[in-house]
Amino acid sequence: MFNAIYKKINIKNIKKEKFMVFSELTFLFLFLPFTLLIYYSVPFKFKNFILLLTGIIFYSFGEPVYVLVMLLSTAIDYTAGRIIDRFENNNTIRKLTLIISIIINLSLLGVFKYGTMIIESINQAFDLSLHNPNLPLPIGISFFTFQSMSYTIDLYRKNIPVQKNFISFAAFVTMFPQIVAGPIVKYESIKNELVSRKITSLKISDGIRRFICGLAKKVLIANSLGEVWSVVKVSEYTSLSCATAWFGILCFTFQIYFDFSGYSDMAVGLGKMLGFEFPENFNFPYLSKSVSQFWRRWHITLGDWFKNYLYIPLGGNKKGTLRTIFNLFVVWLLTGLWHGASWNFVIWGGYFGILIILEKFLFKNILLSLPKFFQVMITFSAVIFGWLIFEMTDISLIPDYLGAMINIKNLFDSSSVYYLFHYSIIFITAFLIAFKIPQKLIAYLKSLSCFKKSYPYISSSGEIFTFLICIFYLVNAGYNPFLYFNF
Amino acid sequence: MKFKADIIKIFCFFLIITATPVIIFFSKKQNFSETENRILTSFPHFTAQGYFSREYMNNLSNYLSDHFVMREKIISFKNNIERLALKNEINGVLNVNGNLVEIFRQPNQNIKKNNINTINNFIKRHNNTVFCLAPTAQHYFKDKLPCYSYADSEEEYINSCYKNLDGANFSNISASLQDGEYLYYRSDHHWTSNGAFNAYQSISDKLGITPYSRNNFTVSSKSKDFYGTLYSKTFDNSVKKDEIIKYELKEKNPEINITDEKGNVINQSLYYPSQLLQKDKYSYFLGANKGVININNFKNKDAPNLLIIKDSYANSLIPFLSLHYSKITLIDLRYTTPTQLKKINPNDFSKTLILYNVIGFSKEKTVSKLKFIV
Repeated sequence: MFNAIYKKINIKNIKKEKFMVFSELTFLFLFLPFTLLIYYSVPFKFKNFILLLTGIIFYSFGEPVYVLVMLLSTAIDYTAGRIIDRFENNNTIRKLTLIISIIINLSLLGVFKYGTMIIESINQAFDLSLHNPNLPLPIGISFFTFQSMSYTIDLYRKNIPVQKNFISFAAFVTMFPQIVAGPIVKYESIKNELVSRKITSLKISDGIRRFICGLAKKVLIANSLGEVWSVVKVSEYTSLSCATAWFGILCFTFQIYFDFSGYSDMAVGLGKMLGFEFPENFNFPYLSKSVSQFWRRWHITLGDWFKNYLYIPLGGNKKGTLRTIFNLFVVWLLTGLWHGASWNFVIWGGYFGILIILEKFLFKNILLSLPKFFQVMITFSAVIFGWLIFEMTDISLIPDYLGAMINIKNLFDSSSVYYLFHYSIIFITAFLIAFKIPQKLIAYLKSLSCFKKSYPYISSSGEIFTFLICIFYLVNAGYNPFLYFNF
Repeated sequence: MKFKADIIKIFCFFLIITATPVIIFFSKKQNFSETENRILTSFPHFTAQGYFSREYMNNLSNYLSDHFVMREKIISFKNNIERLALKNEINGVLNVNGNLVEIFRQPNQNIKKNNINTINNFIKRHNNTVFCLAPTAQHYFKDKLPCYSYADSEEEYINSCYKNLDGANFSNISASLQDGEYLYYRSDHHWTSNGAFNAYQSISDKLGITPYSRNNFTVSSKSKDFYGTLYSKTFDNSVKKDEIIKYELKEKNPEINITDEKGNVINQSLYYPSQLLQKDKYSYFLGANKGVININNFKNKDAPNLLIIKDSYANSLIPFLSLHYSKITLIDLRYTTPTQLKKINPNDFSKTLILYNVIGFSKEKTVSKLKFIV
């Protein structure tokens, strides 16, 4: 079992095809210096073109063929935008163009991301054996389709001006910081910066800080905690001890937060280095006092997108209680589905949908009357159980895992000692950071007069030091002393 | 103040990301990693096919990683940081009182089941077989392992493997490897010559030979500079270096050479002194792992023959066993083909010995190749 995890890390580094992510040596030491050097050197009128070019290079590093899918989506929405703008008085054409653009984008998503799920579900439901071409998933398709759809919809609503310059529009879709893992940047939020942006040393410095924070979250914390869950997840749940089961899912709870928010931090940081202010995607979600609040703090840009482009068009909460419940349920099922092409994700979305509906209509006052601490703990517990559904693609295993979590007969075993000893410090660090404790401490220290002068130097050195440690961890990941048979 | 600090930081950040690739590209490179025992990636050439199959990008990634500035120092430093955070087990290895110990955790019950089946079937075909599982350093240190080690018991594993065998067909040497000085290397997963000597004493009974006692040997140290496989996994510099020890019979100097399956002489003795200058000093004994080799002792022309199916643990046992046989044929199933195996006839030998270390055996799938020896 342990050799499974060692093998996993091993294989991941030798054989598995990697797409370029920020937490990788090729990105840090080849792509980034090369891109920034050129980007900062060229005059402003060429900067968007550089963004487009480097975006394509970045994407094609992981998807040499699928880069065409991304460019196709871009071209279609650019064209749709031009048409909608040209025929500004002809509502039929505008509507038709919008619908076609949305259908094409959703179809791309449907075919490439959900193709296997659709075919296998039909096969199972109707006892057929339709052929499944098993198309590999183009990276970031869930992000860039949503991003470019935001443009056409907002344009249709006449909320934004058209972008006639193809290069500028394409740069918006393909630029490398958010193409792989978000945040979902609405065209509206960067439309001004696309046309004129100032790159100051303050922005670059802030950008570097966010980038390093995100890198550390991913490389130092998420990857380490992930080691625990990746072994516990594939173990035999019926023989799992209670402590190990709990520690496993808790490690995943923090792993996914640090992984996802880490990427978002890196994207925001890189955006700043390029002169863009991307929206925040996470706001200490585990501090939430209700599930509704959780979804305003977790993957904020997705929630925003669904609210603006699905919930409100469906009527939001303006069409009576029953309709509101229906709207909420649809939005949450689709939110779940967006996260993954498997039915457990839909159930996960539905789980939160139900909790939010209950909170909104039944438990709101009860929840608010409880002390803050309990509100946070109840929400956090609900989220943890949510992650269990999220991770179990085979839903039938969920009862077994839950059984292990309440197994008083087998509370603690030698695996629990092992995990707690090796990972407690990292776990506690993750816990404190997620619950904003060191940040509050630093903010307090920063305000003290004795630190005011030296704080910027302390902070800068800390950031560079952290950056080096992250690099060390990345170098170590490529080291493979497991080729045992060679000895 | 903040502005100044910002500028310095920006400068440092850009210096790191621009200077590193330049240094990597222009520095003198190694082609081979002694610690990982593999060839390091060379700078990939761009081809359309390599690009579309993503092979080019992977190789670029591996190139950067393989030739990174001060790679081994970085890994060592990173491991020290992990130990600070109490992540003491590094790549499956724990430091127990200054000794690196690989932790035994059975990966997969099926491998054990299949291996035992294969061996039992072999023994049914050839009853003059002795099966021996050698415990590793974990067994020696079992009372000193920390409470969080989460290790499986090697003794239990060994006993369960012998469960269905006739007493004549297995040799339990575990007791001989529990007490004594320096029986296992501090930085390598093998037993030392001392450990092998103890095993030799214990296994002789089932093999039907009378072992020489310790005072028949001159014991000398051939190298005190050995950092082995477990060092490669951890880069733990706090561990003392290991010694390569040679046991030489005082009288009756044996005349031994190593030949391949065709009879061509590979080496004029059991030892490879040139390996003492390399990193993998354990290869001093019998050289690098090969599929089929013969150990011929010309002083023992009237002695019987021995067939050994083995992993690398047997290499340091051979200096002792070779004193009792005229020919020992060694087979490492990891490096043999079915064709080679079909040519082996255990009936040509007085005994067959199957010798593996516990950890290796629990992971080894090539044991199934034993079925090709009919």
